Amino acid sequence: MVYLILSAFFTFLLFLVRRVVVPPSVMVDIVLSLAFIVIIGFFLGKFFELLQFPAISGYLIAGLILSPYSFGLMNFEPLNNLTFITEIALVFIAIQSGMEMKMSFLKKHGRGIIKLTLSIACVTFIGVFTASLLFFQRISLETPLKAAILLGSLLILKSPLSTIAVIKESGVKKTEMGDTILAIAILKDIIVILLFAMLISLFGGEGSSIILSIVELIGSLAVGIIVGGLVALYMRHVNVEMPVFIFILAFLVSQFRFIHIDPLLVSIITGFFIQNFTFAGEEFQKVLDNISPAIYLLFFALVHALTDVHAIIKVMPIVLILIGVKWLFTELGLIIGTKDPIIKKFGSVGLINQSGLSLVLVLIIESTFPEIGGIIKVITIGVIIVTDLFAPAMFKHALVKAAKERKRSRGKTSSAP
Amino acid sequence: MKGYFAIILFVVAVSFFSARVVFEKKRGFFRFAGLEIYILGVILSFVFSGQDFFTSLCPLFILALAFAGFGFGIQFEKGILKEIRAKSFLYGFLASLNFFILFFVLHFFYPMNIAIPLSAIFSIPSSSILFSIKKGKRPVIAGELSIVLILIYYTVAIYGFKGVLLSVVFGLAGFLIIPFERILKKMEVYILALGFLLLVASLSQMFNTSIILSAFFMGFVVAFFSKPRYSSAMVGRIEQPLFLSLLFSSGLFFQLGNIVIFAFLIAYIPIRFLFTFLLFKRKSIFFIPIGALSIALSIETKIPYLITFTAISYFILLVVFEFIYRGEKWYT
Repeated sequence: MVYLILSAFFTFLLFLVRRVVVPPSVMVDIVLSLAFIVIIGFFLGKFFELLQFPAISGYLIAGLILSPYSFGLMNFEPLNNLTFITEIALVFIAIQSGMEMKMSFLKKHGRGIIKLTLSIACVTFIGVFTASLLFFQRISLETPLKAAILLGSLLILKSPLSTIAVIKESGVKKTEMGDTILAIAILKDIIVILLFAMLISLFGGEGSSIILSIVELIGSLAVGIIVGGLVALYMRHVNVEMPVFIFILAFLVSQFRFIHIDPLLVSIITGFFIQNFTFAGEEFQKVLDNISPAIYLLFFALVHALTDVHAIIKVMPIVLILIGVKWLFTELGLIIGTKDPIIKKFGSVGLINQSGLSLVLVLIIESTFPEIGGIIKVITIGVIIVTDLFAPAMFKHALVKAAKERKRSRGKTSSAP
Repeated sequence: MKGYFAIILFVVAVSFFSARVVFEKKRGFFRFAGLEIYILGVILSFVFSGQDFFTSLCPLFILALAFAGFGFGIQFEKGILKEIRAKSFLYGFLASLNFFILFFVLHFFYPMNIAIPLSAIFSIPSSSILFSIKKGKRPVIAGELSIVLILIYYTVAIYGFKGVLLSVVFGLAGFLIIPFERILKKMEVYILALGFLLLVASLSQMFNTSIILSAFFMGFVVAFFSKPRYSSAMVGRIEQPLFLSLLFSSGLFFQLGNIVIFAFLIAYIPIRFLFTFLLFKRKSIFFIPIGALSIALSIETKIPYLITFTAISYFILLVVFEFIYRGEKWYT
């Protein structure tokens, strides 16, 4: 309750400051905005933790409350100037996602995970594509087929970030269900990035050819390996000020998009390479774990602070329908793709909420296909917000329940004559 | 064009980290490990020019300033304050008079908005160098007290007495951190401290007072009213990142501008040495180098050539100190 009171107090303080004093420059406004985002986001995150929800839900709510679209507590310009933080955060998160992909796990479950991921991805795509197509035809959108394919591809995605955060918060580590869901999330990210490159080329954007897209992808993979190697070298020979090092690294990698190297793919490969092919995996993981709370807070709060709540409300009916369709077809994909009863029973909850990658891809769609980009963006963000509100909490409970049931079933198996 | 900048960045990053691999073993007092951070900032200032870039990175500069003040303030634990004697106060006050001597000389050559910060920058010794004095606490405590007094003189000169009062008020935000030190994890406390530092920094700018002094009082409140082990842990954690972010920020503002100002540096060293020799005898060499607070003060002025001059002076003075320290073997 104290945290809620403190959140309310600082929100009121922000309201007062805005009424009493005008920041003398944009720079001061940026710092003021960031300060309140951190403080209010932090207290709301702690409040939600006390309610047994993930702290991420608190950060999300803080972002929505502070959004210029909501109560006018912040201005657009300072928030737009802080987008570099979300770019750095995405790189950081992608590195963490790659770090979670352990070769030992892949070797043990590899074929099964790929088969399961493809099953879920294909079935979910079919369901979401069909529902989207019907909707876009109903509203007489210009190119409903193109829009439905793009939206269907986007909504396949599942958030590795949220998965990692929820697994850490649940206190239930190293479970098969957690590992499986995370592996599916990461594989889906890779599949969708590859798919997206093809789709953008196919539908014609910025004159890029399919061959160029493939070259860019291979380039990204190679750069990811190089960056991973450099990180390992640094940790061997220098190994000081690691948080500063990671910040600089994330900043530099986020700039790779200017030379048509995909920062997200580079980051995932970097993390994967460090974890599986260097000695530095465990130590690097500890450093990432130390700084991740700050990164999550900034990322979720800032991203949702730039969300137009009113536009989301208008498309809410189709958002809810698409979430329902995604859930249903994910369940179907699980039934088809796996024989594990516990993953069949609890897995769909862990595969609902959207990925931070969706936000990046949505912006690409918006700039490449302006005639359909707007509606796709609003729907995607609506799905992200709604699923971010309930899915992490449900997933957290599902993880705990799955772990208990797994333990019980192993107990029964071992005690059987 | 931006693609080429990204390539340059990558090359710089590789060079930078390679340099660290080579120089990391030779730290000592000569901060090679800081020099390449500064150079990285300088190179980035050429690669990314324009107001938009600096506007986006302003939280970094301002946080660096706030960290400098906070990191200094958090050293004033109850244990250290108990060791302060009347003589330490006296020596500290006398050492702080260096500010007025410098100002008296400088105001003939420079306008007030340059003379005042320059006087403060070059009268403040390096806190970390002072703490390396192993025997005899008086120069350390006197030096630390002189820094506090000079910060106050500087704030009064630039922002007036109202500025000092506001800094004290904003510093009370430290009381909001103390209750959480015992119930939150370390990283959570740092995040909260980060948020409050940003708040104090932005309010200081909005109400026209010194970010560094406000953050100092905040650090002082946290150190004085919380258990020593909490505040010591915080100091250790933020010291290096603070220092690197200050050097990086000052590199971003690189501009040679008025080169004549470097003539001042040639006169400064013997004047400084003589002045502090009268007070602290052999330990006066520890008062020659300037430190993080001086760099922070220069950044607070937002005058690029002044920031550049301070950063370059910092490295030169450190070399001079190292030369005298090792050459004369003035071990304490």
